[in-house]
Amino acid sequence: MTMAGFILIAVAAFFFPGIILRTKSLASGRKGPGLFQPLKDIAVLLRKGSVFSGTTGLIFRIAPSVTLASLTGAMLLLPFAEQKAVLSFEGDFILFAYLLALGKFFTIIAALDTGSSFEGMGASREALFSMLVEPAFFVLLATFAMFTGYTSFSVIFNHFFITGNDYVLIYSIIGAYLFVQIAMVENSRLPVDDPKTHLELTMIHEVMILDYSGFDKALIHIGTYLKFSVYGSLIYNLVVPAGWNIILQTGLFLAVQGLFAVVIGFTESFRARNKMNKNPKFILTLSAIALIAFIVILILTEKLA
Amino acid sequence: MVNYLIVLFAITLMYFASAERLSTYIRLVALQGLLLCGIAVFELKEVNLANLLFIVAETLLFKAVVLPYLLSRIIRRSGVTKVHRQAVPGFYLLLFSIAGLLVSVILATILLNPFINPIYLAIALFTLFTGLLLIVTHKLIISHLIGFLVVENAVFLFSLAIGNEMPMLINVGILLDIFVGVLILGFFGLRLKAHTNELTMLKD
Amino acid sequence: MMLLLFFIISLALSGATLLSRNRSVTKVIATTFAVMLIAVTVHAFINIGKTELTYFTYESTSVLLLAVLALLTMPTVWHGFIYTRDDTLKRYNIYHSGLIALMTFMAGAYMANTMTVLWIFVEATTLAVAVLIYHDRTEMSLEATWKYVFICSTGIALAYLGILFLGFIYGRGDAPNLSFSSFSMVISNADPLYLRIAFIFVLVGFSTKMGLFPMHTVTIDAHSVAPPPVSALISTALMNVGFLAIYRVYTLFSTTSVLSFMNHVLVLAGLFSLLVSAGYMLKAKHLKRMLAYSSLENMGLVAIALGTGKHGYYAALLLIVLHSLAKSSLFYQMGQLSRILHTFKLDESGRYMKLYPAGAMVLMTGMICILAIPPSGMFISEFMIFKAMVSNGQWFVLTATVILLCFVIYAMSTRIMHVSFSSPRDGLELKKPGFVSPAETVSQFVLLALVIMICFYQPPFLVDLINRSIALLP
Repeated sequence: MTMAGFILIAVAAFFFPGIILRTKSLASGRKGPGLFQPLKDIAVLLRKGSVFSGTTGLIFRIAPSVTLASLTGAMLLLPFAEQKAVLSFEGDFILFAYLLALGKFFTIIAALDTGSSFEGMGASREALFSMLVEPAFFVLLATFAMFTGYTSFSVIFNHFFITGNDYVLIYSIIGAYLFVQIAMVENSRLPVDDPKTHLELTMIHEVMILDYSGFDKALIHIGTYLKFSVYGSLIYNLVVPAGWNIILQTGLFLAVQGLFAVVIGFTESFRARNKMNKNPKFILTLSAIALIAFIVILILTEKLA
Repeated sequence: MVNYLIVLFAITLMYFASAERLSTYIRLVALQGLLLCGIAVFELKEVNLANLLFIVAETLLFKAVVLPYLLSRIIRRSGVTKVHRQAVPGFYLLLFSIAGLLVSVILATILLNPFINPIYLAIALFTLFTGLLLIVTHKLIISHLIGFLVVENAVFLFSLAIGNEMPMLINVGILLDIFVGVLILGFFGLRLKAHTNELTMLKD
Repeated sequence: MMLLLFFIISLALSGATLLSRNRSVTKVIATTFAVMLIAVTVHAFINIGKTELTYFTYESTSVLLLAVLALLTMPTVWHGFIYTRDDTLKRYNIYHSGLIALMTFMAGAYMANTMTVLWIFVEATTLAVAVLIYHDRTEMSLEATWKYVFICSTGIALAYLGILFLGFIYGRGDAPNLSFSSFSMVISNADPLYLRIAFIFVLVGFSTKMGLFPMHTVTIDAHSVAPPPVSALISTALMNVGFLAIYRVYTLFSTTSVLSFMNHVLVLAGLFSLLVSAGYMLKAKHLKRMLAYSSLENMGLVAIALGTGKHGYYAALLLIVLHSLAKSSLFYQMGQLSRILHTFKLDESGRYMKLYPAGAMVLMTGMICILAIPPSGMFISEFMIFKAMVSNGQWFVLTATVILLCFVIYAMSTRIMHVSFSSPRDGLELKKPGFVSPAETVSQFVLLALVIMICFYQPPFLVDLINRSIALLP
């Protein structure tokens, strides 16, 4: 049963992009494509052949696979309900963060491998944003580790709601809010990066994967959708106590993922992308909020007094 | 309850670093006045009623109503544009603010005293740091004035920490508020240009 | 009783000046106030050690500085009459009202025996000085006024933080009095870390008033822009107020373990003040600014003296008194210089000895006095400082002080010699000189004569007062 979490994340990933697209279309007054349209696109892509540019080397060819592999590895670390994750040890959230960073790293250097300055520009921006949001993630996880007293994902989430602190609801709300924002930054969605823009000056993530075709492109898309649902599962773990009934939890899991997708869809429909030079400040604000959350929890758990 | 108010206060301070318009600054200052009034009400339980009423009334009226109103009149009258020009880009301001918060929390744990609530120490130090940061990194006179208001809020918060025993210290600290009022009236009386950024005539 | 009368009457006089209808009435009011201030000083000297109105004590330091203020009152008021002769009635009244208020607040600050009352009076003096600095209504004076009020307010807020840290040492359950005498009883079991922080905050905050290193820039600007009689008052008596505040806190803490820390900080601040003043005086082109830097240098010396200890304590107080006398006479002379040469700029002045020999003699004598060249009384105090440094073995401080003082002596003497004897630089022609009767220099000569007298004969009451002031120091 420890694979239940793994399977559920994959299942949620099937629906995620479709829900986002549908929400965006409905919010703009259109009917929009079907819920499984992105999956059909991936199926088409998997059958196609790839074209590689002459300037690219080995890194370019292995990068999509590495990204997907690291992502799958990160999925192995996430718990669901009361079971431990497939891999669980002390400090495993650091491995989680750096597996995701490994995938991103390979994407970045593959973008540099193409020799196009256009892709290099996007890669440097992406690197900056990831660097700025990393403290937010770590400070948040450190807060939860301090709060529950353990350092493994599974154990933290198991004990999150039963420590007996009165303010635990506030912590879960703060944590959920921050994780939603971090997810939007890490997945390159609005207001940090617009996935729909194809103007040279404004692309950040899109430009790194511009040169992929066929099978590799499909792998990258699969990775993107899985990443969404990985963050969704983190949010779910923060919001729902681990001790509830397993069938209820499964249903709630799919509901929370769906809600997360709807929220992203709405945010994308109603916000414009930040000005490029305001982006670092916006992302650093997330780290500032994480730090304040840390100090708030320090104060409220009376570890400061 | 006091802890919530103090945390909200810290959030307004962090917001100073990321706010862009001067009217946002003024609203933050008014919010800080309200929060200080609330903290005074909850914290000063041992002070006699007349003194408490005076402190509450002064905080509420002066800090939360009169001063922001005067400041917004200055802004409207001098026609300063809503975006304030800074000497340091917003990104670094935010970094300094975060560093300030860390430093003040560390300092508060060093300066622990069994008689003072350490949260007060930490947030009051952070307020002092933010006020000085505002004064040093901004160019407009009006931003300097708002920085001074924040420093004065820091003094008030410090004096609240021991206000239960020595209420006279809080009363005297309120005189600082009146000082600020005089400063602001100087804007109107002396016809200072609030959007001036370089008072550069006096040089060697 | 006398003190209460003094405060009420002076504030009433200050208000009455605003309403007076012609200049003679204002002159009479101002002179009355000066006489009252001198009377209060005599009364304080007779009743040394008494406490009146629970918040004011006639301590020996208070009496010493109050006597200095009383000496300066008459000349300031008189030179003020001459300076504002040509102003409109409204500005005339505002000037004198502000002057009366300023001197009242300064007297109150001298006599306060509680930290908070001292702080309130210092805050009040800032407001009064702002009115006076802005007297000329030029753009530069507006800028100097705004900077002065703003930075002094920030400094005073920081000083109040220091006072709050002082209050922290009481803890729960005591009924504190906040007066210096009651502090000295509980100081021995206070946490040294808190004492250090309180001292740093108080030093930085009151350095705006005293003109010492961290926040000296505002006093430089204010002194170079204010009307000369006002500059004379604020660069002497007001700096004494700042010194008194720091001195009281220093005396309070000197019996605890933070004494060496305080001494180090004071010597450091003094050395930096000397460094800044030497550096900037070498390129000063405005005569009043040069005098302002000289005040900065003297305050640096005072801080070093206080931080050195032993003979340094006596020297510090003597230096403060003599500096007030010498600097004020120089500033009064600046007022006359502006009326003769119509400028304060160095490049446009020259041949002063030919145009107004009495004034040039004052300049030369004043220069000798303030640079501590014998026969100036300040030479005695500087000699005592050096003696204390040698007996402490502080060779680095001694060398640095002497070298920086040499720079200051060079800068100031070349400028004053140039103004007195040579033609204006760059071949600029002098503007048509005004006329000032030589009788106006009498007050300045009297003050300078006092300074020179101290070099040879120190009256016993002065020695006694200073010794009583430093009696509590180790």
